[in-house]
Amino acid sequence: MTDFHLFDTEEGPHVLLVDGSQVFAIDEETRRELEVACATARVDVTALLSSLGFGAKRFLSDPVLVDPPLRALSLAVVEKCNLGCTYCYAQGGSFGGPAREMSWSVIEASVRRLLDSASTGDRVNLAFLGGEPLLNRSLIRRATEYAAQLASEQGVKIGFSITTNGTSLNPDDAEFFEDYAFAVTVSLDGIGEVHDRLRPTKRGGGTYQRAIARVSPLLQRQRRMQVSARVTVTPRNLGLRATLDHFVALGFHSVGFSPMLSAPSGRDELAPSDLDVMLGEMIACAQEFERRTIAGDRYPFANALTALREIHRGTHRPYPCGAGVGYFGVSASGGLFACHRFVDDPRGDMGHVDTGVSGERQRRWLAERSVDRQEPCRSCWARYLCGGGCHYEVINRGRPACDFIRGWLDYALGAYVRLSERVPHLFADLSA
Amino acid sequence: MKRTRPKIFPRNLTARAAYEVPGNPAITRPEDAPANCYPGLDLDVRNLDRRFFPGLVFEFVARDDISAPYTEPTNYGARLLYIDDQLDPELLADTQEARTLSGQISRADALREGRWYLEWIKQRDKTLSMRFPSGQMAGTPLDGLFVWRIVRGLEQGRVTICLQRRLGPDEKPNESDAPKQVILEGWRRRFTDATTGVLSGAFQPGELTQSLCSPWQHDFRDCACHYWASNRPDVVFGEVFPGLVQPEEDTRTVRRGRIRDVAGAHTPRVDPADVDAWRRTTRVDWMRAQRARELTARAFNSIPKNRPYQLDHFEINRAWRSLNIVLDDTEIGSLYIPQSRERANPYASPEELASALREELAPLEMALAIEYLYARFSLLDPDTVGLGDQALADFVRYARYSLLLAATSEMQHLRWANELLWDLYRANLISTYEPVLISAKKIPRGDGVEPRDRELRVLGPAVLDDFIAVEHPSGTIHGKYARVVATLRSDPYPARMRDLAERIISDGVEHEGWFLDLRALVDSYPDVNPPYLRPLRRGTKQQAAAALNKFADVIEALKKAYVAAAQHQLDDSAHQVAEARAAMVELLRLGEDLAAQGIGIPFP
Repeated sequence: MTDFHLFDTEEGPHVLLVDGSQVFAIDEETRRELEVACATARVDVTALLSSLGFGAKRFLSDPVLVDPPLRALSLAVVEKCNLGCTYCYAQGGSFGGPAREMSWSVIEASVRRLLDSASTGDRVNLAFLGGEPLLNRSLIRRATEYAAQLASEQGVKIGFSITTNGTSLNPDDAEFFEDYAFAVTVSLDGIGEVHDRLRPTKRGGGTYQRAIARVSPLLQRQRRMQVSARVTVTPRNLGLRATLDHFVALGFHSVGFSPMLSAPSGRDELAPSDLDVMLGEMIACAQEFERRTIAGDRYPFANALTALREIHRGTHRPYPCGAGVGYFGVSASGGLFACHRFVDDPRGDMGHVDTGVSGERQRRWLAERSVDRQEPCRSCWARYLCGGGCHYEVINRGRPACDFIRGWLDYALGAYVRLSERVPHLFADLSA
Repeated sequence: MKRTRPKIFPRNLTARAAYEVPGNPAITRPEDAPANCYPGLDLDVRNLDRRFFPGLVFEFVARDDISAPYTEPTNYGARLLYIDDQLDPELLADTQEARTLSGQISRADALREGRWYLEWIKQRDKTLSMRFPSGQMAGTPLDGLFVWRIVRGLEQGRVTICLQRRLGPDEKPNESDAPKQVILEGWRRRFTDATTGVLSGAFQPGELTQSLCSPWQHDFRDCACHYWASNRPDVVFGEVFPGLVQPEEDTRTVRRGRIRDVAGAHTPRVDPADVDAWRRTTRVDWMRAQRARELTARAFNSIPKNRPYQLDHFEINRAWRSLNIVLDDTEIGSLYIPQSRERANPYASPEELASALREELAPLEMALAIEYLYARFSLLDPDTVGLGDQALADFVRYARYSLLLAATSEMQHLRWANELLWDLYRANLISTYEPVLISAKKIPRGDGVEPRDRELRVLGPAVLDDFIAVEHPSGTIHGKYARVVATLRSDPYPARMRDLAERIISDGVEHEGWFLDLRALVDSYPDVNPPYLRPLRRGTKQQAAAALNKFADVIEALKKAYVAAAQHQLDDSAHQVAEARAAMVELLRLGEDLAAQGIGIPFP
């Protein structure tokens, strides 16, 4: 059904109205009527919804954005890495080319461009990626100080993030990240050997112990800084529940799972059967999340928290993320790309920091990538919650994960209803 | 098959923002509500500010009225009513801020006992004290509504507040260590969700509407802005009993005459011994506390004079059912007998109706508008010409006001007469519509009497008699519109046409009333060289060129407006009407200037 999705919970039947991602509790009779509309082609769904009091307000009038403002940049400050993770989108750090470092002039130009696009009171984000960004920490420090200064002068709020494999972290990094309230994401794929198999050094050695050892001081230090663990899920590390429990116990601010769907090497991609297993694991994690949350514990399962927040807000978007919209990845030589995964990939070429985002290319990107123009998305009930899937993955591999996503969202909708009833204050945070 | 109403409950923010609850009027949504602060018709905005600081609920304690004295200064201000930190969603959020503030509040044990008031508020680098800063009242706590106004001015952002404990009237200062001041660092609550506009979950059901106006209870009696009180009768005629017949004519005339006592004691025109006739022609106070019919007295001529004898606020809550329904300015007791309907011959066809409108009625309205306007210009302006006598000044003011009102009323009737014509055209009952904006040359004076010429005359008793004659209920204009109404009662005329025609008739009754008043008052002044007149002479076309051109502009604009309206181009029409109005305002000014020089506009 394109316009709505019925789901049942312990609190009774519910419906998700796709436009505006509106969630309603309904009665049995209404549920039957909607079900009949699903089953037969003869019911005028719009009229039916209207007669029930739905659809008075249209949220998504034109699902193609026009001239969105630039709000986030990721800098591939270092296009090289000390690890050799099997599935890396940067293919060992250098994106298939010579290993490079970003020059200061490119960084400066990037920061300026980011802040020029913002007005007083706006919020922007600067992310450091790579390769392994900490291989040139002085660049990061300098860039951060520079950007913070500029932002302060302009009255713009700036957030900083960094994604690292953790093996190069120093104790003074903790202080620096804390000072600038960084969002630090550490890539950890599992416990011990599970992680080591997927994220070895370039010579094949294990990295788990070292990463954990180096990350621990930061975990202790978290106040303004937030240190999260990101797990890339492959066929070889599907034991998500155990991983989640372990990392939460270690003290990560949040732990999230990301399915590996498209790797340049083609290795360790999830097959449809793997995705089924992953869905089961994710639901198991979510059930634990529910249990703990109801009990008053903090159990920061990022995927669940994100899903719940988005459902609560009724987030409805024609794109899966900000890639090519308000967020761009900058390559070492200053090229602007749709996101960090598209760095140095001509299919995501969007301009240059010196000249800015190419209006024409962005218009084409926005028009082509809008979820209502994708197949099979345009008739899927989850499209405005999903957005169509990661552009990089879809362009390279297609959409193998639709059932997974629908399964996950269907579960999340139920969880939302349950938690709304039992832990209402979970959704009380009204800040943007 | 009729289904039961679906039970639907919006869960998330977009659903709550979008869902229109069946049966709820639009004003139950904050973005559609008028929502004011005094106290409110649907949502008292001030109730938002009671929870301006997360975790705390305040009450703004104020005097009854801004003019009331400061009798209990230690009670005034924003008083901490209670601490609501356990369920406040903003304190339960998973943020550093929330945890910090939550901690502060739970540690502030002192707040849980005694009377605490807002002492100062700090936002950014500005600190505002909740006491008078200087002058005679320096140091005295501000009235709660002043504090509220300051709180309303806070930005949504960081806020630090200081609460101070105040002793009650019987409390002695306590030498204990308990703190007398508590400072809390927090923020001004976000009242609605930034994206969807959904109200913060901190507010409990009923909280925002708990202090609204009570229009059907004590606010019906009166309220500080007189909004509700202005919607009810104040003085009306007493109940007419069935079976007692009195010529309508007399009742009307008596009712309309001599309302204001100018020359001396009121001289009733009916025999006071004839109780029923007296009741029918005497105004009583609709809010009188004395409900027994035999003991009903005549109303005084001012609100303060009537006040002591009226139902009081607390009484009205119970006694409102004893108030009488009022129709046609008369109280109705248990039985209502409708006034006889206008009986008149309907016109035989739409063409005949249109003809009457075109040739007689519309031009007559224009003629009267001009006559009234000219008479108005003939009166001195008491604001520019000092009139030593207060009664004279009052009379002149009233006369200028009534004449202008009557003139503009006729202009409105002119429009309505045109509107009736274009309604006929739009309903395909006549074949064309042309605006009628010309003046009649003759004015009717009643059946069997020769019509008089339209004349531009200064005000005087004879002139007023003529004005009364034309507006009199059984006068010709009334009779003609009665025929119009009779025609419009049946098919194929659209219902709205009849409403328009009926309004013209009832306006006429009102005009007669004004002229009767003026007629009675003008007798106090000499007929020759009365002190209220300007030395006005009809001017030449050159002298009044500017004014005549302006008048022509008005006509031009109205022509366009009416033609557009006839084509249902309502935006264009409204635009032209606005142009016409602007020109009319200018015409009034030009006319006054000329009249002050003794020149009357020779209207076409």
